[in-house]
Amino acid sequence: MRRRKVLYVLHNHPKTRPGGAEAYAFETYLAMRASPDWEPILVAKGGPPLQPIGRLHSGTQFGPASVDDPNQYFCYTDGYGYDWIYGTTTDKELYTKHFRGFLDAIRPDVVHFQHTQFLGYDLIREVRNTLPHAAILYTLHEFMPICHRQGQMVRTIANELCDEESPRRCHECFPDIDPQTFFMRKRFVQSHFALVDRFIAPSHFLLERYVEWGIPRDRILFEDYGRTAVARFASDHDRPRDRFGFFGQFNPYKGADVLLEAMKLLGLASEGLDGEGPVPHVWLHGANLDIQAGEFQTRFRELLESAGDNVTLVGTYRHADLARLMANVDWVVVPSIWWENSPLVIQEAFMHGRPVLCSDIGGMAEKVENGVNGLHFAVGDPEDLARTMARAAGSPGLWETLRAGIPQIYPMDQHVQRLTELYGHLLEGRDASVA
Amino acid sequence: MPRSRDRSASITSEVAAEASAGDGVTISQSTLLAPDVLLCLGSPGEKLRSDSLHGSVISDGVPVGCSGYGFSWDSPTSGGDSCLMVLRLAAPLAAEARLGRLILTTDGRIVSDSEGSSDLTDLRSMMRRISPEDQPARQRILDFLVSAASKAGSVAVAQLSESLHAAREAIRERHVVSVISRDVPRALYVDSIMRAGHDSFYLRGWSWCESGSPQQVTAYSPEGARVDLVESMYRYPRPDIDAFYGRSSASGDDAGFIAYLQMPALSELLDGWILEMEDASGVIVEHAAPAVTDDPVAARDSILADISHEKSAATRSLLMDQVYPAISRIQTERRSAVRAEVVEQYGTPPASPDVSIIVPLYKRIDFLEQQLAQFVHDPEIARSDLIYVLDSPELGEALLQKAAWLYPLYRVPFRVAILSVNGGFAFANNAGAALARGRLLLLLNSDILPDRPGWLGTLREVHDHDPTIGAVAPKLLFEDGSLQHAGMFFQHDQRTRSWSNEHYFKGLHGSLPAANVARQVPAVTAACMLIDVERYRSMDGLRGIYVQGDYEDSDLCLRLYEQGLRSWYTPEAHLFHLEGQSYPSAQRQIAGRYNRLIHTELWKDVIPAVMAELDHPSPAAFSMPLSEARSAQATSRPLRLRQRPRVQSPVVRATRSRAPR
Repeated sequence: MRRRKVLYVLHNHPKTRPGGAEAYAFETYLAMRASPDWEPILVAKGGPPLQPIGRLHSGTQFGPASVDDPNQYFCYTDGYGYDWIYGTTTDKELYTKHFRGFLDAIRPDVVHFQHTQFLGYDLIREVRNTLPHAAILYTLHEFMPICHRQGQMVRTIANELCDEESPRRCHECFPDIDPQTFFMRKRFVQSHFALVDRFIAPSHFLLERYVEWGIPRDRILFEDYGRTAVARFASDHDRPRDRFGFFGQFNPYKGADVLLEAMKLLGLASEGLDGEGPVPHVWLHGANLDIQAGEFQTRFRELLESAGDNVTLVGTYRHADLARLMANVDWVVVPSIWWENSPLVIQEAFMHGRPVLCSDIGGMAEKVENGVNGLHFAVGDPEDLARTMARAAGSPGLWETLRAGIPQIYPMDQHVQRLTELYGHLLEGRDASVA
Repeated sequence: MPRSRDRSASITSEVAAEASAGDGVTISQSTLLAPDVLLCLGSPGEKLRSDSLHGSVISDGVPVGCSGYGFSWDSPTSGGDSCLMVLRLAAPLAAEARLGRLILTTDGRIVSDSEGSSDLTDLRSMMRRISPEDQPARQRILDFLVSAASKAGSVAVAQLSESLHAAREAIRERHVVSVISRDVPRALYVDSIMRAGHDSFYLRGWSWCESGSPQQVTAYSPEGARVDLVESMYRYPRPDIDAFYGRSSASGDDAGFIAYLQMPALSELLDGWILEMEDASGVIVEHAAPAVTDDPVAARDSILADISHEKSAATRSLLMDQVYPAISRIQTERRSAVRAEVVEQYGTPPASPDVSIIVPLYKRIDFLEQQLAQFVHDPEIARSDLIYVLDSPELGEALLQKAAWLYPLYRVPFRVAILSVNGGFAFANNAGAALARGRLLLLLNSDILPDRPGWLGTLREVHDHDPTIGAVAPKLLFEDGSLQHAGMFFQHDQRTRSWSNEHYFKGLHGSLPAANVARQVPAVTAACMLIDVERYRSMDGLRGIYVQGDYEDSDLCLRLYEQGLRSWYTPEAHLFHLEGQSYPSAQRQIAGRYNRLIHTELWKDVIPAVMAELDHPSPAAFSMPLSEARSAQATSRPLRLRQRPRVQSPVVRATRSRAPR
């Protein structure tokens, strides 16, 4: 019996630029290759803005993403305009000509969207048009379909957390975009989402958000990211537990600045203590400070300066080095000021036996149990973070207790098993409905 | 022989005189006003009898057909009668052509059979022969030239106009140029002149006469056509002029004037308008007007802004005698140029559609994609005759490209019709209706999005259920779910003495019980209106007298009312209307005021009756749960809950028996 085909659609290839959703999707693709029943194919959007150069051959928008693997493709969109408000490629030929040709050539049984950014929500319609029998899945990684602010659901007004979208509220965040446009944006996205057989939410929090927004509850299910197990870097020798690590992008949503402010407060406090008591040390691992707004960069550098010797800016790291870097710290801090979904950094911290200090909202609070495998602090509150860090570093035995509470990470092989069952189930349903 | 010398005589005063064959016109000079328009000067012999001449002229040995007009006058300078003939030629002549025999007949009789052989002369030389004539004769000659040339026409209109202008300049009477000075007791000035049509203009200026009201104010087109304004112009105060002279004129006239000019002949040239004024003491001054504003949109917007100069809301003579004719003319000129230049079908058209959906697109062609993204879920749309009418021709290429991209993605069949020029909301809808294949017509705005399928069938059922329903429209909601349309009524404003169109319960919550009662209303919106296609066509559709899509719908509903047909509101169907995205609001306000006043003038005798009969508060309105409505909006706009004892019509009773949802 032939292996059935599942096509993964990504907005970016992790080799081009790292990112959580990309990393997960690529891991899933690799794991699925071992399946006896399913043959995965991957197509990632290539070309600018994430890649410096675009397509190499005229006459096609597609090209191989790997020399060795015939199932990995780039879909280059250079030359096609992208509408950032609606999330659509303005020249529909990308869908009705190029993607149609690609789909006809591959004929996948299942199309599993990991993202449609840079490609467009209406690509879903093209898939349905060309492959009426295919099952269509869509994994939701953040709130991009709901929120024009990069899907963060954080308002432009003082970075307030947003828990309710509406044309009026979105217009408040973006006064240059009228409420009618936001109204149409939602209906445009939902018009194409109506063709999706099943949405996958990696956190309960995100699932509820989307149900409130309008996805019928029977078409969305919770399924966390599966992770391929990696070897721990064995260096958990006994030492003071006052080493904290940040892993993630240096952007306003990930809250590295909140952590720096907390360190500044701790530094001031320790001066008063005359050197007594532990002073936590922070290692900042991450990238992309260079592409942030100048205001944020300036503030970040000033905070870094004022935090003094207690903060080490490591900068960009390679994924292969993660185990060693994790072993170097005791705690992982996830201070995001947006809701998060199912942060990969939490999974990675847990995989490497690191309890997590995180903001007390959304997907972070869902994945980290306060007092069981980590500690919560008030989102965006440097004082509370400083208190929490002082408590973590200064409470003997706490680290060992929380470390013992770390759950098993959802293994990729189980995740793949669940996905393939779901694909099969959805295909049966589609065959019945189309026939 | 007696001949009228009255300057105010009719513009063309062709001669009727005795004529006899064989003793006809002798041509002394010929010139070309345009390559296909010949002007001949000569003596009429036994008089030129008629203004309508037919014949042929030999040019370089080849006969060329011609027809035209003649005019003769008693010329003391030439010691006898002279005549001019303007002849439109079947083929253009070269400037160096030699003319041979000219044969002309009128009423089948030969009036001219001159055996000539001459070179063409130039216009200036010919006019030098005429310029010694006395002033009344020269004026009548100019009147004849512009009238005859206008009737004859030419393939080279611009050149013809230039020639007429040159002739006017050669022989017209010249007067003292008006000077604006406190020491000069009379002045005339034109602020602007705008084109309304090929032969109609709109003039704005001022005059000041110490000696009293002017006896004459005459406008001359560059081609020489003239019209007297003193009786027809609208005068209004110009405090700036009064302040400059430090006193008002003796007559007490207002200094400012606005005049709609209906000229007796076409005028093409933008430069060369002259105004003459004769004051009470008989002194004549002239003033050269600035260039004509030729852009219809600029002219329209400028004219509309003049409504604020109206002195009396009771008579509204500025609006009705000057502004309305000018605006109507601008709109009509547009309509005459509006046609569906391109009609493109996408997909296979439905075999026998019941409903034709007409969607005018103006500027925002992105709405096409948004509507298709919703229509794609509605099988009733796929069975309908969906027609997008582009009223922004400059976006034609972009729309065709978009349509070609979108059809393969959405597969909802539709047509795109591209209008040749921007014609406005009414013309766009009417152009779409002309293409309609359905039995019913749904007028639909591009910024309307359905909520869910089924609405079209509901509208159709409601329409077909009752033959007395002329137009039916659904509930329309803003993007926040508040009411945009639940029927329309007319509200009288005492200050402006006008009736405005208002929407029932606008801004209140869509679930408001009072808004969820199906009923007859004074009018319904054309943003989403279902009407019988034959009925629509027989009424010539929406009237194009309104500016920029406003009162056309209520105008149509009132015309239906006059035919005994009802405008019906049904909340069983609801859609979203993202109203107000298509125009900048300042411009819309000016247009809105104009539309309101015109609508008022046209319907002021009918609206009170309609309101008395139909504007009843819905029973549910009395028990409206304000908590369900958006409280801010509910309190800012009080409900109109007037109770008036009167006999209920059967229609109203039927409505009231219906339970609100």
